[in-house]
Amino acid sequence: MSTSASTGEIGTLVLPSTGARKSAVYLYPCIATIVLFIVWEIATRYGNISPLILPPPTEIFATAVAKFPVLVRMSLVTSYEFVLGFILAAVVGLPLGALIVYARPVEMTLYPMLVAFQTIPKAAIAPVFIVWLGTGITSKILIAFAISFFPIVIDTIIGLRSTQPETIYVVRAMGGTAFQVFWHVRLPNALPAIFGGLKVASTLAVIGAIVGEFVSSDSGIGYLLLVANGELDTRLVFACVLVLTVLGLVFFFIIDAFERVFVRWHVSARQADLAATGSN
Amino acid sequence: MQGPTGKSSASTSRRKFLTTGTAAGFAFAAGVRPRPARAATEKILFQLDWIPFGRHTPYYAALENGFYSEKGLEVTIAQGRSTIQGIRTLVAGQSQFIFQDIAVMLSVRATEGAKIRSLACMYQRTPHTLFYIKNNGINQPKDIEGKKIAFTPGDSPRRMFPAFAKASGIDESKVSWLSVDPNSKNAVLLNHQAEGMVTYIFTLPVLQKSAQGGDQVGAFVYGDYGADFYSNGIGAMEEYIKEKPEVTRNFVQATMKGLKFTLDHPKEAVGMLKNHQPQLDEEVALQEIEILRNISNAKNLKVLGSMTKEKMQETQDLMIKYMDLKSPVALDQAFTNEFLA
Amino acid sequence: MRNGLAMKPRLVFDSAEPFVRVAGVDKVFASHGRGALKAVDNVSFEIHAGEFISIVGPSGCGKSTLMMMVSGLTLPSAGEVVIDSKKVTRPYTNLGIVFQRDALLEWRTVLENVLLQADISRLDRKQLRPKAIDLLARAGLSGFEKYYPWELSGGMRQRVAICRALLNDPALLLMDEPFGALDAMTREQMNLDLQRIWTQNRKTVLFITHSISEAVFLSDRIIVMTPRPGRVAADLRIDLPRPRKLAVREATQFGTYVAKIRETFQSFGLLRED
Repeated sequence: MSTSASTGEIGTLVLPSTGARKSAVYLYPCIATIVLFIVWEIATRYGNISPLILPPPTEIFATAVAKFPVLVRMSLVTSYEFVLGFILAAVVGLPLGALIVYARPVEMTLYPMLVAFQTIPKAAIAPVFIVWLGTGITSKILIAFAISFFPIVIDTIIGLRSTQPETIYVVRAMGGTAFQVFWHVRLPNALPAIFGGLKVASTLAVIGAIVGEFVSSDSGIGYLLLVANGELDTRLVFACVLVLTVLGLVFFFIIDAFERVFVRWHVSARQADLAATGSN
Repeated sequence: MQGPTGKSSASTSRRKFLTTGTAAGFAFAAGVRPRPARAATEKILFQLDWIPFGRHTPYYAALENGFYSEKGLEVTIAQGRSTIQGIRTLVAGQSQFIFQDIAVMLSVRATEGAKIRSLACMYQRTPHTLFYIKNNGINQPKDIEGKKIAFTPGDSPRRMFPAFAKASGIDESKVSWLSVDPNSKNAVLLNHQAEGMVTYIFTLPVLQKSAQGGDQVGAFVYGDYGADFYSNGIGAMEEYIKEKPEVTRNFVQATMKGLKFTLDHPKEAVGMLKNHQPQLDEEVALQEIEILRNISNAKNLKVLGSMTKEKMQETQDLMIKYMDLKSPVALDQAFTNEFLA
Repeated sequence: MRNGLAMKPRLVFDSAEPFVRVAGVDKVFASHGRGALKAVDNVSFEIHAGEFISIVGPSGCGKSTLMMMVSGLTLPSAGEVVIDSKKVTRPYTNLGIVFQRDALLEWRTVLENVLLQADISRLDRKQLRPKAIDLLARAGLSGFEKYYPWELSGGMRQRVAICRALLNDPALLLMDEPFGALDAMTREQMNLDLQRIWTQNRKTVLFITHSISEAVFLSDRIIVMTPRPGRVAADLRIDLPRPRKLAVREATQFGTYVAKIRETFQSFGLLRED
């Protein structure tokens, strides 16, 4: 049995990160955030900042606690909007990406149109969506969809096209059909890129839902934020921003968790482990 | 001697740049202007309450006629999204004068302690209106119960709605609210996406003009139903007024001059407005000016824009009665007519 | 013959009839703007069952293209390839194929990679597991079944690729510079291992390499190709006794074969010493 020392690969399993290193990944940003909040608190309490402009974090948290039921209710609405918009974007974007890779006529017709559509700022056409689709949830879902599906399509295309040709030859030489080539080779190989697209899309979907709510809405965190703003309740405004941040993070990390399951094997996941064990 | 990296003191580097002719750009960016030997021009940001329409002609007229510049004021007029947003810019020091609803300024003074003082009142009578489409089941204010009203968060018609509701017998809990971006508000009403819409009476001409398929636009003006109060006027922070009384005087008087000019020469004034807002319809703008003429006039009004303690008291009482205003303020500090004459 | 495993014919190793016959094969690639590119020009040769044939030639001489045509993954522009008396018009599936880049699937374990053919041919993985494990053991990879390719060294990966190619027990094994990416020592070891594997089941092997000495060490016959467009310059029989130990490389006869091939290259202007 031979091993190759030149590339630094070893013929044994890469050790999983030790407990200390792994928790550092969570610990560092938590500490940084707490420090940020402390500085913020001190600055607003002892500095000359009007609470109308920037309230202290303790007051923001107090408001969030006091208004908890409303915040939860509104979060559910907004979450529904961006989750559905995102799912729609994935359900449309993934097959569309695959279609563009496999069918050149489709690529030639659709790709330029997609790019053109993408360059239109969705914030600019959101009012048009509202006129067409009404002021209810549907328009928000569709704005979220419209703003988030392009990265999914593009990254799917990139992923599918990044297949090593030899892997395809191997499967074809085994008698594999075009579908089997797709299922066993192209698709798994494309997953890292696809997940990259999904992660970007997840943040965009949240933005889309909020943009829609800002144009016209009667519920949701965006709506609540505007109303709070309109009543000079800056603490509630910041509480809404806080809630939105949390929602966005949770959503992102859910997708990240899926990625960890499906893409454990990819070099990017390995780099994180290697760095953590200090053997870069 | 300057280093090649340019890390010299501000004044020497400034002079250096001046000689190479890039003075204006860099100095402006650094917040410093080359000052001429005579009296310095004061930079003013005048924050409006809304997107500029015909009703805002007086301020553009004042600008174009040079009423501001002849008093040494360099005024920029900024469009707004609501009274509350405007008040925020004032409190944050981004604007020096605002054109906002006086009742709201009063309530903000009472609840938040922001020391805003009203210096003139243009809308002596309440222009706040609940618009609706006629023949849609709504004949009186109370009929809006169970329906949806479009509003923009922070606008004063929404803020003052409780007073109107109580005065006209509407059960507020039965009304549902739809938040709408200022630019989309008219469309939402005209497309029947909401049954009612609150904004100022000035919007009536625009609505009537754009109404679809035979729809007729109706209007319930708050003042007609017992909720009459001082509406928009010029406001500024007390501190600022104390610090710069001359600037304040000059600004207020120039602005009122603009109003007078507009009422006397509406067509010319609208022409000036169109230099800044070319997309506006002239006819509609002139109609708005007629509404303005009506609203800026009050019984026994001696000086254009002046306010009475009586009506200020009425305005505050209205808020105490209908809007649960808990901490009324001493009104003497809340307004002044001293800069008008 | 899509499902190679289920429909394998009984092969009769009749040394008179060649197992693989390449007849007058051309390959022309259309190239944008620069006119057509002829990679392979009128190549003909035969491979008998159980033979180990190497193709050596300079870069760009079309050897990989030739192998792709033998496999049926590419079709010739002219001429034909006949395997087991049937003309090749689509991928011939009773074969194993190994490339220079091992082309392992990174998301499958070593064992799952070897079992790939089972998934493609919709066979029962459980049935083939023992065979796969045995192949890995004979390749010296016992205990690595659950490892992922990125956890292995280059040499180990290539061995997994070879096991994968052998799962089907194919009659024909095609290898395109499989050891090209490995360091010298690993390469020597792999040569020995390959010889051992081949000796065990006498498959027909078509092996492509740059290395003249590797070809001489491994093969029964060597086909030498000219630079582009590739033609057959020589078809050399290697009569060295088997099994060949590493020491055979110092034998005089070995050197003669190597020299002969080198001279052939020099006659096309390669390996110039002036």
